[in-house]
Amino acid sequence: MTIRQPILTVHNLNVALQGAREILSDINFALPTGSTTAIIGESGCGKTTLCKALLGLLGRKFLINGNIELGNADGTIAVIEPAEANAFTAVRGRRIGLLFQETPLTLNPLLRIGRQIRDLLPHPEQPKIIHLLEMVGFTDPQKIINCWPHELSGGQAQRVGLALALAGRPDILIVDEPATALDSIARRDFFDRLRKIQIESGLTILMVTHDLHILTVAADRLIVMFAGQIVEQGACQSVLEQPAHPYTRSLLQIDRAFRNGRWP
Amino acid sequence: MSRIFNIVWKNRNCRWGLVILLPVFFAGMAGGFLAPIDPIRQNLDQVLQAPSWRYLCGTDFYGRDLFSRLVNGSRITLGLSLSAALLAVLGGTLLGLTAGFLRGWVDGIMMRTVDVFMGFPRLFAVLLVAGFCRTGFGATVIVLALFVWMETARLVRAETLTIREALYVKSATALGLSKLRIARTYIFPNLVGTVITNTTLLIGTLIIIESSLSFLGFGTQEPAASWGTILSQGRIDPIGAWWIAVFSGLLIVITVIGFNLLGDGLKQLHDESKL
Amino acid sequence: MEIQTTHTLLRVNNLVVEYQPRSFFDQVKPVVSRAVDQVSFGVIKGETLALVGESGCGKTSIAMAILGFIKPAGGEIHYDGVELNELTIGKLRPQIQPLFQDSGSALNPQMKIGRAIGDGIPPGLPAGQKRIRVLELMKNVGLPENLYDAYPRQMSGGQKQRVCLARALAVGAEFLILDEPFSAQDISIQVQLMRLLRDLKAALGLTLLLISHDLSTVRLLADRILVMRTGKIVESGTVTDIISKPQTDYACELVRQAGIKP
Repeated sequence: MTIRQPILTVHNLNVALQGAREILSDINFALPTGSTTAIIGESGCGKTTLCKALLGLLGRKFLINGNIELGNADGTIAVIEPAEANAFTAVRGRRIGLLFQETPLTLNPLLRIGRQIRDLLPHPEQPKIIHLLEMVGFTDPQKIINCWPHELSGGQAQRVGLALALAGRPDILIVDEPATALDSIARRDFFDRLRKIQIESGLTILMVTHDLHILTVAADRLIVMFAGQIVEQGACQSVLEQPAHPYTRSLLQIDRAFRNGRWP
Repeated sequence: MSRIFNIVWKNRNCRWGLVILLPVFFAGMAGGFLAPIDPIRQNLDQVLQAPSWRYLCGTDFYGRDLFSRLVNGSRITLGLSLSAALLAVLGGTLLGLTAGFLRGWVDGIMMRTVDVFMGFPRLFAVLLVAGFCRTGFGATVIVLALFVWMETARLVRAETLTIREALYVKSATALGLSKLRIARTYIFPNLVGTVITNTTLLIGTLIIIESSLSFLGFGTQEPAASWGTILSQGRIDPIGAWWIAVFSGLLIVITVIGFNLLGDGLKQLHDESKL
Repeated sequence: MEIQTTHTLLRVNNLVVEYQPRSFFDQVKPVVSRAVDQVSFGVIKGETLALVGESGCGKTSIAMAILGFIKPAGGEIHYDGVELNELTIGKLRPQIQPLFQDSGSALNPQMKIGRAIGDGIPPGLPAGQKRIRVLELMKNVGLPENLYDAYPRQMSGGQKQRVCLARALAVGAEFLILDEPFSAQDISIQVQLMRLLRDLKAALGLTLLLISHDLSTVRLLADRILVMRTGKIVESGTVTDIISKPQTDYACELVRQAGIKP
């Protein structure tokens, strides 16, 4: 297996709410270029906070320590100090794209889809918009361009969200529970599509999910979080086959029981 | 309580608003202690003195100390404005909540009433009211309230229309609770934030209206003087006795700015807390 | 659990629900589709019936119609023999309670949860006794006592869902409509809630209408399944039938995607 140069490395990230408890402690991990890394963990363990920290989306009330290294195309490394206010402006959208669970809900209801995509492209041209929509799996991009947000189904809206996230041609994509509201068929389609895009463009994906079933097909690496800390990480297959932490083990046990129609 | 104060103080708009308003309030409350010179007492050999250490804001045409007049005037102006704001908000909220919650013909009648009030030219209304009503604190408060209650009614109605579609209101309906109960315990508490911010901004408007009325001679009558009354006296010799118009005018402007800042800050805090 | 009688508690006949126009544009151009298109089914007292299908297939519209929040364009709904309409819904409301996917939005943000649950208790009980009853209900759904004075925003998603459950029990519901009640939580919490539901149902003899797109949870909780697609029921049967021998292509696909072994 070739060792890929990590495109994103997080060193000793700590996040705490001012005057209150720590939310994330000692977060250290790296994303190999072109891979998909999944983060799992129970609600409230800090997965979403981590995503927001990587994009500088936490408010002023949060105290952040540690640093983030982004590998550039020319081999150099850009170091980002998350505590700095403007550290992320060049990064957001350009180097790191974002798709949250609520992203489809944040579509401007007063603008057609095509217009909203156009507003995000550095060089807005019609063929680029069409290419973007085709990339996320729309067979009739022209129709979608003229649609209003409320005319889209859940799955379609999620794919538009994906298109918007990819509009800036980022190297890294962070998706946070993007398919929780979708049913199993739409969910599978979404992750298949994501995988295809990754193979075509070399995108590195960081994915937060609590759907164990999708992991086996969608992720290369797995990070397990519990109470604000990373308790396990490694190649997805190995973690799932030999879970070290009790929390991982219990998750797998529940999933296995469900699959076999038994109560865990 | 102190936690609320801390949160409010941290907001920049609120902080400046309070910095402006608290001294004004304090001065009004302190009243006689702060301004030992009797505001009514005329001193005809001290007519139209420029500001000095004795008379901090100078004297007016009857030799009355302007500073004391202004301090006393704050009680009147603020007293009238705050009372009118309270009345307007109470009435407007009740009406808006009922209209938004019950909809149908009730909504129709109430909103048409609002439209009628809004359509009435204000000056005409003032003259009409001034002609028919006796002046006095209560009457003035009612007149002032009638000028501004419509805005609150509309705002509350709009909020109510939104809130009633919320899932928790539907859940309460599913429980079988009576409409009155739902309006009282599910809708109203979620309106309070908006109403408070609206009220604060309203006070600024009312101060201006009250001052304008007094300026025109319709509001507070002598010897009780609100800032507007004092301002109108400044008209007589605006250059020579500049201190009368300037100090009273400044006070009005600064206090209104203070309430607007406070209101904007409260609105920011309310919006943030919703996210 | 054996179903003792075949008393049909809920009967839905030829229900039609049309899409509510959400904007001016919807009203201008002709909207053809129906959210629910001539759907008929019955729920037997004591059973758990699952409505399964992709998002937007009409499941939630059915729930809203039964709860009286949407006026159907056609068809009728009968509960315990009584037709549900504007006149009767008031009296029958307490017996049919919903549990929504977004438990946070289903709770009044300005109300402490002890009070929210207490609102379900029929009037007439003195305050002291009411509190005791609320605490008892909280215990039954697994909520710690100290949350009595907590606000919804101070609680986790799983806890909020328990509050909604306690509220439904407080009002004495016998029929619960659950619209994706678990999907917002991760599976360790889901399992806890599922167990709670299963135990409460057994203890209180509840009837459940479970709306979900997650076949693995449906499999454990439901007795019968109705598979819906674009407003119509395409297949129905017992849980074992549908999961091991799905007849329609769509049902087959759903089972396959769920990754469960028959």
